[in-house]
Amino acid sequence: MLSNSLKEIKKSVVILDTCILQYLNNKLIRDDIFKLLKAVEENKNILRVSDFSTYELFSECKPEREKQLSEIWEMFPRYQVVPKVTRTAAHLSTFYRYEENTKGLTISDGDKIVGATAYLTNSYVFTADLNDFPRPFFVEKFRKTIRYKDKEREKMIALYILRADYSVFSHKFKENEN
Amino acid sequence: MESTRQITSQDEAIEIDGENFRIGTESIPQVEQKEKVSSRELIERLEDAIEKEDLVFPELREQQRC
Repeated sequence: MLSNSLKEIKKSVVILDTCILQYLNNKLIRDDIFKLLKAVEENKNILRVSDFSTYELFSECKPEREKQLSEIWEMFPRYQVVPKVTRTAAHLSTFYRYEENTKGLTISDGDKIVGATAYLTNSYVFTADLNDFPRPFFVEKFRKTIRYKDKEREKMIALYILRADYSVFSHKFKENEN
Repeated sequence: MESTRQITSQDEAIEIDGENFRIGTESIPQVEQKEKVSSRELIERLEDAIEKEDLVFPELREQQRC
């Protein structure tokens, strides 16, 4: 059940999906994202990222931007993409492909890596795209909708904090073994 | 494919920074950081860099887009 309260998300690790960082580029929604990040931190959660985000953010990055980004990026606690992460991500890919609700979805390898890291570490995922961490594998624990005006046009974005559904993963792993 | 270890407990505690955290039983190593900062400081420094230094995160290429 979705609880639209951050209270239950406490003393845990919250992994920031790469797109959350990129949405900080948008002046119109930046303050709302920072407010939410601060609220998450106030609940004694720890913010981390997957090191796969390094690849995503630094790919084709111009040298001057790379230098600017490197300085702040060094401060981000980053989970390494170790073999158990890639192997779990591969399982996740297989699960998505054969599950009725997720087959046909286009989910990037990066999102599978982040999802696998969150599963393995029992962390939450903070994202702006629910489809990248789909049900039934991930469930919403918190959602905040931001409405804003961009050049007189009403726009909307939703931010989500998700968590792996361990019963679903467990069931899928058992199915996979048979 | 070799089966990955399953985690079913969401309540296994681990101590980080003197606090008990509910973290899965698998430990994933972290990249060594030159400078370790708290999450609060990270947010503040990030906010500062974006506001004052005009830090912009690069956009994802189409195939990476989330």
